[in-house]
Amino acid sequence: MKKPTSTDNRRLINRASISLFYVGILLLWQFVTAILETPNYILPSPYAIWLELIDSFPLLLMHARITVIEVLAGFSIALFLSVFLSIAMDRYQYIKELLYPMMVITQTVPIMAIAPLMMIWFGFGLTPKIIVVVLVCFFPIAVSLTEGLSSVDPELIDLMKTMDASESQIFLKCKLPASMPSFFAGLRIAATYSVMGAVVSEWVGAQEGLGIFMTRVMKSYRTPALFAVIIFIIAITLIFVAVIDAIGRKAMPWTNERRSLR
Amino acid sequence: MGCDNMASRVVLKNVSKTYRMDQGKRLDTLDDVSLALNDKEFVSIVGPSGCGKSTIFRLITKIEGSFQGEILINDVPVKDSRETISYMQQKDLLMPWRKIMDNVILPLELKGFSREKSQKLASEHIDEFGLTGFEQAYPNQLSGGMRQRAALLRTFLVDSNIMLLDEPFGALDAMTRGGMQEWLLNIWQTYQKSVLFITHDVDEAIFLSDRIYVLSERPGHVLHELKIDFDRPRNKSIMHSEKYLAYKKEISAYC
Repeated sequence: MKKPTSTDNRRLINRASISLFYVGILLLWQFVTAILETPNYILPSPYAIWLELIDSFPLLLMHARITVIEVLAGFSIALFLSVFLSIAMDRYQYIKELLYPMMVITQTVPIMAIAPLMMIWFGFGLTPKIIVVVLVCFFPIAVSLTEGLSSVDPELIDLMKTMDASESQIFLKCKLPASMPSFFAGLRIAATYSVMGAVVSEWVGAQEGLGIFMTRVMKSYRTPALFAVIIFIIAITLIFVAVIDAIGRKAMPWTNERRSLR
Repeated sequence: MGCDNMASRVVLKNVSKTYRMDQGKRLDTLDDVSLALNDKEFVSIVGPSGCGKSTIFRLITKIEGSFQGEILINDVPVKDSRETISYMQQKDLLMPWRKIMDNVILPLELKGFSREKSQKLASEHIDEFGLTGFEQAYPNQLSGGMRQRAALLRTFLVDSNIMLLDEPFGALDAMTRGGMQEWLLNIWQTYQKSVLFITHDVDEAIFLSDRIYVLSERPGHVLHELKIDFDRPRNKSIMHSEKYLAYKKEISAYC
């Protein structure tokens, strides 16, 4: 089974060339900053960023912990709310007509406008940040699940009705599984938004968190530290997306088995 | 109408169906259709696309409610009928998230049978439907012919005496289709089902059927009814006989 084939080889070569490409960019960056002798506060070299990353790692970790708490809390609340509301909207057309416009409107208001408002209402603690994360996550999850639930071929539902399926059987055995690919696509988007939402709301005012750390280092022109924060944010987001993808593959085994047995 | 004294499984008497469209427009789909399916009979309905053939099935299965005329299922008016009819659409409509075995047991599951019992019942027929070795595959791993056989097994496991098949082989290539037709006749003969079969393929209809109804363009009504008088079991050699050509000519005169 594990014998390497020509497609396996090609994939290996592809992977190698892709990593080579990114290593090349980093080397070029290092090279340019060395030649031009750019000051660190304008464009630090990758090496300088690396040193900063190691240096402030404990500090970054402390701030990241707060941000991750906000992200997970907000994401979970949004997940719970949107699943509940999507199912209600799918079941009752009236609820959909009632709530859908509001969902779209909340989405058009920029986070930068909501975040200060939340701070005025709820203070400097975690609550206003979690609310912002809920607001940015709710829409992509709710929309993707709603669309997923209504994506089922109506003929399949007709067929189930001829087999005397009840409404709840149609929902559980047909609509819900059919909505999974769309649902997980929405979760993925929400995961990236959630980190962004948390960081932006921390900018406005916080005691701890990657966002407030970011504004502090910017004000003191510690640009290498700024890059270190960005790397942290990227890492957190990627890990979050990877976890969701892993759960998605577990939940939808049929999407992995594209290979034909014909 | 050739009903004789045999028990009728499905009867349509002067059935008309009109859809109300937007802006008060009306779309007449069926116009005064009368036909019958008798016990253990194989009856085909042929006609051009969009002539309302599928609407007949949608009325029999109660997917569509309102119509004029009368429909009887086992001599009971359709709206009072408790019969769960085996119905298969043109698309296989297999659930991509279910393995083949779990797809075919759907009707048993909906009846409230346990998964184990359903699978045990289904596995008795897996071989007959040519699905051995593919029970644990997902539908997207199978060829069109196999998917169609899986959908037929699912339809079969509804376990009704009446089977409505709406162009089940329409999406298959000619070679696969030929094999599937002979196989379907085998299944039909073994299990003594009453089959109402929709197709636009005249050859398919003659090869399979005891009787054929020819439908007109929309609004569909019955132009012609003919009895196909070949011995059973049949094989493809009948397609080269004089009689076969005569039947074909007779149908072609109407479409």
